[in-house]
Amino acid sequence: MAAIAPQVCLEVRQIKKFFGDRSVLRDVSFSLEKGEILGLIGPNGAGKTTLFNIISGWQKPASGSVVFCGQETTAWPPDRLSRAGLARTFQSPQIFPEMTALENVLMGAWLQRQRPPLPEAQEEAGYCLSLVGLMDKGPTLAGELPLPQQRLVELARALATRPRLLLLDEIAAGFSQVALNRLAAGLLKLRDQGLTLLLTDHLFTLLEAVTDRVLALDHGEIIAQGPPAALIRDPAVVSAYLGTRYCIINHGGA
Amino acid sequence: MWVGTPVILAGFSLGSFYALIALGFSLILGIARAFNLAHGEMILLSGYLAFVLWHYFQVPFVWILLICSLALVWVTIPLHYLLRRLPEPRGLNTLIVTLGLALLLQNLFLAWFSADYRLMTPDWPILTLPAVNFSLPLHQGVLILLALLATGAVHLLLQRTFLGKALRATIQDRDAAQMAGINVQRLALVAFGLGGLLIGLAGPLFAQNMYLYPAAGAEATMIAIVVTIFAGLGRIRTILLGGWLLGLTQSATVFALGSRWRELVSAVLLLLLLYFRPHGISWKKES
Amino acid sequence: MGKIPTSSFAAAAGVLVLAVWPLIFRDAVQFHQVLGITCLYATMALAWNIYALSGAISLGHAAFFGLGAYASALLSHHYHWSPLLTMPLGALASVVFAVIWSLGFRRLRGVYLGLASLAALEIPKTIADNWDRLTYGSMGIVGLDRLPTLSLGWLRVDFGMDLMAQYYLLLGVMLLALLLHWHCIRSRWGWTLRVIRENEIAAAALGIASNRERAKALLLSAYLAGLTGALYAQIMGLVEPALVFNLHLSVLPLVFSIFGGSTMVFGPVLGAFILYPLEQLFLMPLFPMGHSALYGLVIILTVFFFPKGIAAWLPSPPKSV
Repeated sequence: MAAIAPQVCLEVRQIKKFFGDRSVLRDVSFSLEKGEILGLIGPNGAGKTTLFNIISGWQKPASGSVVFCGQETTAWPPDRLSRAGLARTFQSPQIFPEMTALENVLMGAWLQRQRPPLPEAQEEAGYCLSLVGLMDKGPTLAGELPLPQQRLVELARALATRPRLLLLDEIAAGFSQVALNRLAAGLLKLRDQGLTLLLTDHLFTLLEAVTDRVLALDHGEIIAQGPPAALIRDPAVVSAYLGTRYCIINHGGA
Repeated sequence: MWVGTPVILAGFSLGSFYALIALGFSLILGIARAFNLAHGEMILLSGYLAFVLWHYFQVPFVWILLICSLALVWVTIPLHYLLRRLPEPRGLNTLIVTLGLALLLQNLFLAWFSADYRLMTPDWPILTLPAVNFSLPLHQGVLILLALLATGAVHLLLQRTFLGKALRATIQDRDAAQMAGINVQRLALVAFGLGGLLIGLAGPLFAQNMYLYPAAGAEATMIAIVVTIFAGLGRIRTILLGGWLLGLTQSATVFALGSRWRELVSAVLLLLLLYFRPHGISWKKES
Repeated sequence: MGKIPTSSFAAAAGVLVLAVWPLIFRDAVQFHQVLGITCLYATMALAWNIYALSGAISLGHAAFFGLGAYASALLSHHYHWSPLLTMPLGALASVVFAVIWSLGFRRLRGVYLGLASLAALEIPKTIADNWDRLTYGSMGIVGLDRLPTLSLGWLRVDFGMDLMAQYYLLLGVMLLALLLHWHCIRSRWGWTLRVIRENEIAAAALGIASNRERAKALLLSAYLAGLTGALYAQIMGLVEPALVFNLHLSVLPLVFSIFGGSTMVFGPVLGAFILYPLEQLFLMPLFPMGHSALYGLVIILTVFFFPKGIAAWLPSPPKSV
């Protein structure tokens, strides 16, 4: 096997995963370049979250390997991967409910691997919270925020750890169009600063706005990939993986 | 008689009783999801009540059983309403509150009955079968019989009745049962009621076969926890098996090492069980 | 920097009162003794709480107390070393137990960790109860060397017999423990513990190895609990399995911490200073048997009505971050 080119951020090789006898991922392979925004689509149960969990160390594959920044990380626990620069958010947001939104983000900035001094971390936390547009919610207890805003707090906290690769699992669920646009603009800005992103969505709206390339996953297999614009006009892909109804709405809106 | 016979016999009768002790605990845990650390103290409460009825009022044993069983229902049902109102995290708070309840009851026993050891000793005959040189004190026979009867009754209730079906569904998956239209709060009440009956039944038997003293409850609670975690939830026959295994292990340990090591047996078994099954009784299959 | 907050004034005033009252009431020997033991229990509650800050509720801390007491007593009895040496060394026995605990219980959480810790107490207790040749079994060890007398010029402080001197010793130890506890809440590591307590999944996502940090908290907690036990043994001059491996020593720190407020720096101390003297000085004369019922009642009421403890009602300290 050839040495990995330095610009590859993440490489996933032939991942297999079973739940009991059911095959959830069958030979999934792809790679992600530095500074790329890669989308992952597929209906519920396609294996997106399982794939995320395997990349971020929360689950172990039956076979195959994950290479992050040139290091084989398949067997690493999640905290070690995080210290290596891989941050993620969860489908059901994992926040610190009894801390304020700002404290949540501060924990990301202050406790991260580089152990910055407190004032620097505070500044960073404020910046990250404003980046997701939640500056006014800073003093609110995170547990009292509505779910979409908890997701944003989680995103800001992940950003505050200064990751190299960021995995966003269904980040935009329940977002309004306005919030969605703001998020899309924010993500593009982050990419320009050198962040690599991998994100899932079972709808297409956010992916269409930000990704360079999208993988379509179904029944644990990658069945198509390409730029979002091309993928969405592929009638087979659309009807198979997004459903006929969405297809009609989308074309009606276009 | 072979030297092992009394050991096995003692283990068997102890074990049947342990199954009875665990039965109420297991129902309450399985259906209401409540770890009741005051379980042993409640058995003692029933035991002390039985002792008072026997010692001061000369109430016949059958009536004692009946009165104690019903009386304890009046303790467990209020407990149900109390625990229902606990703030999150429910599991840990239940543990802390019932620990407090155990402490409270222990001290009430101390205040009412002092630290003395009490035993209910009705002058019952010893059953003997001279042909095989076999003898069994009647109170021990009653203990085994009642424990087996109660276990059988709960087993039949769970397996053969409609209520049992709902109870089993709740034990297996509380959320799914709720979605299927089962009123799990009502069933939790039923579980605490049944648990109260079983705890009440265990009290007089405890008072007859073991010494009552204020701190005796902790061991009973530990036994209930060990047998319940060993068996998993809702499997009544495994509870019986677990009770016997624990009883036999204990009497073998006492026979081999002496009675001072007995209390260690259940503690070590619990630690081993938890080491290999860190989620204890997992409610559902891991997703 | 703004003005010095009221809570700091309150704390300083409290410490001053605790330091000065025995000099005024020199003959209140019973109070010297009871408040000395209160300091000891407050130290134990602080020790318990350092572990609780990582989200673990332990019902087995009596094991650490007892091991510290026994190890110190055995060193003192068999080798006749000075208590000043046996106490800090003896507490290491608790740390050894904490290492085994951390490895054995690393996969346990919440309720199951509580149950396991409850069972864990039985092991050192039964060993101390039965290893007759080393520990003298249930008879225990009596007649331990008393704490030494300190001479500073004209001042002679007899820690062995003088109850007031012992009070000051125990107060000093408690204040040191309080300082440690303060660090375990307010430092960066303290926030790490809080992060683990509030959400272990999110903590891992921030790169925190929860098991390792929780184990650190336990080792610290165990050492402090062991030191408390060793102090107890040397002051009382005896150890007995039923005395130092008593479930009470697991339950009281829990009650003091949760009643006082287990997330507050002063919470455990506040709980101990309200409840223990109340029980010893007021309830015990009224109810010679069963006065400990107070703790059962208090913990039930606390969980229902003020789960954050009474310290939550005090003027809140300024945010450190």
